[in-house]
Amino acid sequence: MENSSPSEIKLKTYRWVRPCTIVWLVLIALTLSTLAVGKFELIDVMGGRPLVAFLLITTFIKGVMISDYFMGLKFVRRRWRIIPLIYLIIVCSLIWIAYNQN
Amino acid sequence: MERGLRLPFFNFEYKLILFNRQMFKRFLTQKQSKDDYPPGDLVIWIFIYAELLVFGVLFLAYAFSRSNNLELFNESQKLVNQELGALNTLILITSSFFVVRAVSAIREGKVEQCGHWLLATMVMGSGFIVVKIFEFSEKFAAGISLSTNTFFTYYLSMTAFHFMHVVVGLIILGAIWWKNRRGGYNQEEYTGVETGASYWHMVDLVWIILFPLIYVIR
Repeated sequence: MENSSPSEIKLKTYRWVRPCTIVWLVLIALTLSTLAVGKFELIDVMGGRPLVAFLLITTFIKGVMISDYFMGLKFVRRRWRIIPLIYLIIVCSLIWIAYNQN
Repeated sequence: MERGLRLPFFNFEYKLILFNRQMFKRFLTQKQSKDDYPPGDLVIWIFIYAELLVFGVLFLAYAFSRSNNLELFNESQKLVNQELGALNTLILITSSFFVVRAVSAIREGKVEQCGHWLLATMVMGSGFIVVKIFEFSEKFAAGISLSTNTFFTYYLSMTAFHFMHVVVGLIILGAIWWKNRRGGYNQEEYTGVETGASYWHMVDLVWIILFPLIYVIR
């Protein structure tokens, strides 16, 4: 039987669950929630604005997760990280404005 | 003579404090230090930001065109296949995860493992292509084309434009995989892998916005 100290077990657990794996699982969950909104036509059932806001916020979160963790911009100087961040804020905000014009 | 006796002691103490302060400062800067440049070749980042700008303009053009043709866009949107759109999103997210693993592997010096992850990424990317071709053929078979209406002009042009980026991404990843197979990358030199990975993440990032915008939000 293999004897492992608690710290070794903790290290092994950490190595198995990498941050990118958690990000991947969160992205999958958010995508499935987006599909659920579309598939069950929740926008028509529950009213548009709150769900459009929900979809745009999840899109923003997914975008930030990709740029921060997958692209690795969280670990470089802020000027590089801030470009996709501003991009996502502008695009999502203007889409929100366009969808609330009527 | 007195000064001579005092100064060495003073200097020693001072140096010790200075050393400790330098150590402390170094510790702080090490903890907070970030790379000056993003991973991969700097040129790819200029290209990535330019591409994001182009897609951003298309997204906003779609969103504001929709506000002038609300009924047309809502009715036409019912004809797009949400399941296939979601499937392609899952495929691209997973492929992005695989390419992250490929970069991690090469940074750890695991050349063979990097190749496997790159291959897995390409398989997922090819899956995206297959699903997209199926989706396009479904639409063309139903008599839908670029000239059907404004919604389908945007839908087909934006997804086709993105499709081309996926194809280019697959070619880049294929070239990186080939170079890696021939021993072109190792723990010290892996800029090419990071460059290709960054491009592939950009393709993923664009689709992350494209999917809810065209397939879901109405």
